[in-house]
Amino acid sequence: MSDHRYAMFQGLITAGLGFWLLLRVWDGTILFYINQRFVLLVLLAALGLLLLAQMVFRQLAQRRQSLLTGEVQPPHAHSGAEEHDHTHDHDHDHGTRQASHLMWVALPLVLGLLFSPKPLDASAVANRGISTNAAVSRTAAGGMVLGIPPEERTVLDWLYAAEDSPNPAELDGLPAVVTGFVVREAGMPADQFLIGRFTITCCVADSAALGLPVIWPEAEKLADQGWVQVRGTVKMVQEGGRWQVQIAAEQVEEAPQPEQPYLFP
Amino acid sequence: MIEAGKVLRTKLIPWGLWAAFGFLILGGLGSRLEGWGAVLPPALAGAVRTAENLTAVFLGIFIEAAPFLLLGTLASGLVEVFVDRAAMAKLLPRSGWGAALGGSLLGLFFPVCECGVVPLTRRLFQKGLPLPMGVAFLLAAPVINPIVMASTLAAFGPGLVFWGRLGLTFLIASLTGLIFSRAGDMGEQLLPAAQPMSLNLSLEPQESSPVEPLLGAKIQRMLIIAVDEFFEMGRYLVVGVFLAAAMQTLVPRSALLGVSQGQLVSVVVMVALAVLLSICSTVDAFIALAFASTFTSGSVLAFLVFGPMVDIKSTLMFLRVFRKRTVAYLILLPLLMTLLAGTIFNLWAGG
Repeated sequence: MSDHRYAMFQGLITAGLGFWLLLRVWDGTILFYINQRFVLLVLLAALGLLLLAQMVFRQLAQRRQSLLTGEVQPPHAHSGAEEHDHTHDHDHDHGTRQASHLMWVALPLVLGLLFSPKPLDASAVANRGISTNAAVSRTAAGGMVLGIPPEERTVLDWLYAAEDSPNPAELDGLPAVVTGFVVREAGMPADQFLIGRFTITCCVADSAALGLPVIWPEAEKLADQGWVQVRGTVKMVQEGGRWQVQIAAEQVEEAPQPEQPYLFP
Repeated sequence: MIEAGKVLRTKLIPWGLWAAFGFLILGGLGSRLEGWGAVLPPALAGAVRTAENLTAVFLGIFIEAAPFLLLGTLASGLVEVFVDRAAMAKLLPRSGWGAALGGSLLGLFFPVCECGVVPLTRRLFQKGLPLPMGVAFLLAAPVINPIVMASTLAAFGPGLVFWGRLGLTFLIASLTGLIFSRAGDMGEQLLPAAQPMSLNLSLEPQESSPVEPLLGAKIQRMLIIAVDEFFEMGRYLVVGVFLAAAMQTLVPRSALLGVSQGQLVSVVVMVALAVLLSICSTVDAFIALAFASTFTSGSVLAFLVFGPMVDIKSTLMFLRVFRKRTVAYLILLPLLMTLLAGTIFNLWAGG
């Protein structure tokens, strides 16, 4: 591939990646992929990619201009065993400019455009497993969650609350309104299901599913992996010396997938 | 008339390319392939869901890693354009010991993770960095740098894991560097593209332009180098990320978690996990925390020490710097040392 064409595609792919990342930050779907802590970093990277693309385009234009004014020799294509001199201004490692580089680096862009931004599906629980205690990495300070009104606590907040509370038995009887996806594991009692959410510490690669057991007589009828909102009261159960939060449901309703489907620990 | 044509071509073509791209992306927005699953038979719909999950994980790791790769390639461009070879040669230690130990600590001044460290190391080799120093830098810099030290401290506190991670990384990287100082000729270890200029372009004068270029031109050159390297290394990053995403989506995690308490087995499993997950070293401490309650502490330590040195994506990028045999040593030496250290730690700390 000629240097000129390679550079042009380089510019296009770099600009494309930059634009794509900017769009994801703009419409918020960047949070389908990474923890919110890293959004600023990604924004900077997107701007950096656009700057690099602009540089490539600028150099292409400069080359063309100096070519037209006859200042330099036409750029050679690096094909065959031609002897070449280094009179023109470029510095690359010969033999590294191959079309396959372009195709691989374009892959994220192609997949990103082909599949609309979509968070990890609840079907991934089957492969990753689900945990009912908060043994996940934790970046927030302990105890903060106790300041959140009970009705607003998420699956993760409840697990933290059980961990942080000096007397977990006191959580018993508090009202709970929790949104998540339905997980029915093999061997579960007929009147139970887990209400689950994915937590993301860094990016989707480290996602871990967390779930709260919910007591609901018609648990068996719920669509597996569908999103629901559970209203009920908290029931604290002691399992092997550890306090486990359960929810005795009064109402289970289908719910739309939240705009931000993951929880960030 | 000809003048006008020139202006048209030189000014409008770059902006035309920009416009065409913006148009393409915005157009793509409206016509994205929505709701694939709804119209497909269940078996196929399941496959599409798997593909979508794989894509989500793939893009997740790529988006997370891309800024760090970009930083590494920019640092590499910076070194190429602004660091003078002769000046650097004066500062470098001569002995194998000095080079290996110095290389392990070099990350304190170049805070890069395992994606960024590879292009930077290659550039430093070209500038004349000794082999043992480069190897030690490559292995240690993703851990022994201010950012990663801070994130490990935040996750684990200033305890045994934090100091163990730093100490073991320093030890393993320095030892590996030292072993490489006995390896002889750099040309046998490095690919031609990574060798010092004097080795592969000895006929070419070092200072080709008598006039010092303007700062703007230098910066432009630095950025162009960065783009080239972003593509060269980015290819390996993408392949590695894709493999890691596929493993995660297709291999059940429970297959690994059944063996979390064996003194040696747990270490092997966590090392395998570190390689498969290919998480950036700037954040892997938080991930390790998730395993700290179920796995032995020696295995968590092994995860934190080995993961930043070797994982799928960095291994593939190593292949752009070193010859294949050297890459094998670069993986095996730290691997054996990590397994040994992790198991000893388990036996000593009682699991």
